[in-house]
Amino acid sequence: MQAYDVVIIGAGHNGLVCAAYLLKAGYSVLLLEKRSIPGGGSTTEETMPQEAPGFKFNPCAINHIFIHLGQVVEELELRKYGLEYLYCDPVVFCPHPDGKYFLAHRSVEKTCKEIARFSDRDAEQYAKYVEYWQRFVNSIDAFFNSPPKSLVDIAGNYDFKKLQDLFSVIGGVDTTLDLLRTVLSSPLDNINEYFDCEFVKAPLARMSAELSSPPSQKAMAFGAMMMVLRHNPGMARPRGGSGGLVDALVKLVTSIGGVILTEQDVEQVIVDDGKAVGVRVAGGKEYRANKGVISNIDAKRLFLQLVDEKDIDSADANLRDRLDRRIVNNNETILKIDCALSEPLKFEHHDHRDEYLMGSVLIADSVNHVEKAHTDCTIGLIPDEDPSMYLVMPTALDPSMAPEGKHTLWIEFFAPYQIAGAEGTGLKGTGWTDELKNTVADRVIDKLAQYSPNINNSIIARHVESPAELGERLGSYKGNYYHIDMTLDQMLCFRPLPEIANYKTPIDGLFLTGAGTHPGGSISGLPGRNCARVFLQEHKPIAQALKDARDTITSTVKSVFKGD
Amino acid sequence: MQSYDVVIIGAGHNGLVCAAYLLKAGYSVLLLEKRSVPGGAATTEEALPKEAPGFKFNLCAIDHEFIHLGPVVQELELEKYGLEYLECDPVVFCPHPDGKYFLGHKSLEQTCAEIARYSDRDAVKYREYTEFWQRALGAMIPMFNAPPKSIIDIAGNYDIKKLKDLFAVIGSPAKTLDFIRTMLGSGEDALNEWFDSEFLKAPLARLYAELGVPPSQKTNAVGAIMMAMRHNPGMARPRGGTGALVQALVKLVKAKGGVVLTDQQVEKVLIDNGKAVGVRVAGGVEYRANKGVISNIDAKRVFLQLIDASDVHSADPNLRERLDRRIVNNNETILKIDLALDKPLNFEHHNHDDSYLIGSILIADSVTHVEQAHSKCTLGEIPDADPSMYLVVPTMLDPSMAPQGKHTAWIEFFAPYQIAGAEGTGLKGTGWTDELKNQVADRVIDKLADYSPNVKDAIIARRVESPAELGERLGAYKGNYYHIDMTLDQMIFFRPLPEIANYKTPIEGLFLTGAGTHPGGSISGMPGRNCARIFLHEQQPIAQRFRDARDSIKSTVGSVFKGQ
Repeated sequence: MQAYDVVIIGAGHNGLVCAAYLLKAGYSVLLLEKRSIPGGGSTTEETMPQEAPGFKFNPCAINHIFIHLGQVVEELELRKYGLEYLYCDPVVFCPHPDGKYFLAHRSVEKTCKEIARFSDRDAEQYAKYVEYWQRFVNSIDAFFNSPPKSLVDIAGNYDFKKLQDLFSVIGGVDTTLDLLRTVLSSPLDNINEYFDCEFVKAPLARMSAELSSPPSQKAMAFGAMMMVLRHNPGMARPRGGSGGLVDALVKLVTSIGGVILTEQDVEQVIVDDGKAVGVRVAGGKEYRANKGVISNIDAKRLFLQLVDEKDIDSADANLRDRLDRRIVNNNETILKIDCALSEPLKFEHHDHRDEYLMGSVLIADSVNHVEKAHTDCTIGLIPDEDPSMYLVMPTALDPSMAPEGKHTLWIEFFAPYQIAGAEGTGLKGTGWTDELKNTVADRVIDKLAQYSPNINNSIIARHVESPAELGERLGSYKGNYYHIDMTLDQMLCFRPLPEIANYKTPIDGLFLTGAGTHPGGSISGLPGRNCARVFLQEHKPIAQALKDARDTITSTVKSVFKGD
Repeated sequence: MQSYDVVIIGAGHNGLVCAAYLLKAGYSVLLLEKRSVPGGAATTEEALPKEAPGFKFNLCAIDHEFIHLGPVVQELELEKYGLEYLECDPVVFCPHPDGKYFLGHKSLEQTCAEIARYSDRDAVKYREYTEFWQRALGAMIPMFNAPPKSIIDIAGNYDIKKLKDLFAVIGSPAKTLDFIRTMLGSGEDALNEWFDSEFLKAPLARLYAELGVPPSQKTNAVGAIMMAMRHNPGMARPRGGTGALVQALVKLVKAKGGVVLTDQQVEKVLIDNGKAVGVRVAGGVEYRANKGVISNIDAKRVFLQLIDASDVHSADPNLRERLDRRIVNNNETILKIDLALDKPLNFEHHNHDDSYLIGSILIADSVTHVEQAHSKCTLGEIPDADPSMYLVVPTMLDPSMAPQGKHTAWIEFFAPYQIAGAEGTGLKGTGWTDELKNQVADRVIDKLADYSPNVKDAIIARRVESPAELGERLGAYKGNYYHIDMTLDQMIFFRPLPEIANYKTPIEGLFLTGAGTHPGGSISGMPGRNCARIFLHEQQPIAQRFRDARDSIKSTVGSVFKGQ
């Protein structure tokens, strides 16, 4: 049996990041990926080699934001391994049905000027909104970069600037309560408090709702981050697509001795005497893990599908039931449309400028339009009567992703995983069939054509992936591309459950990483990095652990006294 | 000019409770009510005197639960003034379309036995669930009965039993986090975690959503107490209707020398040198308040409608804008239907038993059915394609409310305040017309007739009140019968805003009570009692305040050491 220090189940970007840190610390690492290529939700693929050869598509993640809040790219020196980030500017375009539009540049000032063309008040308010949420981000990004229950790590991540932000957001008793009140409120509440104009509110509602819940959902006000982070640190895409990040990670991992095996579907975590000691893949082959097994797939799949019931029950008698029933995956996921285009989109009713196509393009006519896009999914209906969508034409920024002069189009349309009344039919009993997904895709394209009429004549080929198919590809429950819902009750020290929120599990040597752990889904590498820290901490003698804690705290204290 | 120690704006039940405590403490009090009867949302009226003489209707509140969690009835000895509570048992009936039904008795054991007819598992779980929320409720009661920012009062309210509940719920760090996670979750999340059966989940979802939000709304998990309270302390109605509570309060207030004037619409709070010194009513009469003005109407109305902008501004320059924009009233309120019946309802498809008609009757076919009843309101649509409703036949428990052998039905149907696309038409621009409200009422009755086919023949007369009319009668923004939304971001020390959450305002001598203050809407009397405590506290010399604090803490400590 082959033996490694660590075996990682799944080679998504977090698994790869985690592997890189462990390899650098001197451990041997094997990554096992069930698909034929590594990357998980972060791949770039020639999805339609016959109908559209040379067109490269991102089947899932496209715009990278959160990764710029951490040190992963710098610490792992990913540029050396070929990663190049192209920054988007403008970052968001949303045409309004009445001819107005929201155009957000990376610069807040420029964005306010665009808003001021239609509303001076909302332009001023926008600056305040961004400032408030920027301070919020600064004050919590120390949490992102640490295991959620590691107080020492969190304290060490604060420097003078971040402490200032923390106190300016929280401050006195009433200010603290007020912040808490905001956190408990909905994006809709927050947006209504700040703004008057629908052409501003609608795209902001859509952005907040990218966390996969309706704008009216309480405790989701922090979804405002989805917009303000586009101003700072900014939004970028790896040259060559999201897969460009994975390619760099793979290069790094393999160059320092890591092994990545694809088409290896892990079927069992081998537990011996309460300790995870290896895995078995489909076909029966076993791999030994001397120091630990790390799961890049979520805790629910790991424990309910890959670990023997009795092994879990003897470690924690309640865990299976809690994973099964307490973790929430709502009924909302994505119907994904990829198109190969012969020419770029043209927003002819909105004084078309090519720069509209640089960032995220939102079709969000009103807050209600966005609301319905999500509430319909909750009750199992397809919100395709008047589709709202998020689209990107990545080739505007990176022409290398298509044959010369040609373009690609990435469309995200929220749709229910389980269609109400269609239980037991279609793929996996969800009600989704090829016919249905194409009918829905037609409606989505029709809606887009109202804004960019040339789309109808420019599609060379298209690929539609239904929620059920996406679920099958990613493996997560209900096709949840965040593994589990990104609602406040499942974030931070609640993700995925309080007792396993620090990347450790009740089974000795079995660790968690990936989107289902803090700080969650999206391209950030932070779950991978945080998990590696916890793993390394566990393997250090206690004296060293204490010394590290002291050094971490000392550095924060110093920064405060230096005042920078 | 007539002068009193205290003038109270509005004679709702909280204003009356507050007045009673102040009168007992020796202050002179005047209550000014804009309607021709006192009681606010707690009235019983012969609403159809011509078509149905002798039939008495509760125009708003009907089932009383929260008041039994506090000491108001006992402390004010309201039974001496004619108040008699009739307890409901069973407390809830919900027929399911497949012939099953949920019948909640006051006894938890009996309720579990009913559930076990269809599902043993869910019966077992229902017991655990109710016990959990009973403990949580026990831990919350001391907070309900004290001003939210008065730590000493809250501490004083804990006795050994409640401390046990508190620790049983929070306990260890992992347990504490888990409890917070629960509180941040939605009613639907909780129901899916605990239960399998739709016939049980649907009525519970409807009761969660009685707080005015869809079951999928996060942070509404606390809505579980809407059912838990029905088991203990129980649900009751005053003999003669909700108005009988008000009658007892009015008798008490008058007996103690208080004055209640009706048809007195307060138009202005008089501010002199930063201090509230009286009020002026429509017609120009002024009343002097030597010690303070207390508002039973919500903060938004009092500050935005009754006080000079410059007076508010000089006390707190941000308050007006924060009240205007930060307080959330969603778009959901009630279309109220009252029926005079010549015979009781008959649930013939569900082995009719008259005991079904004693408590709250819910028409809630599924969780999705309830979800739509709320999410459509958010979008400005009327959820009348398949109406869900809450109804009561109060004459079953209290035949005195109708002529002999006759009955009444009280129906609550959630509906949008502002109808989308009908802006500017109908009453107050909401889109509601007499024709529309009757059309909706017809659909509601049709749905009820699916379960109780005899309803159509039994109707002698009916009264339909549209959301716009209800808003006009109560005066609250968007017809919000809780004054402001009962969501976690607006509860406890957030209600209505952190800086005015302790019944005091930045204007000296101006106090807040009523549904818009902690602990919120519903019949409880707690906002009235808590406000009175703050008012009295303010009038005391500082030494007395310290003595009170010491005694309050001593009593908790005493209880702990006595162990009871």
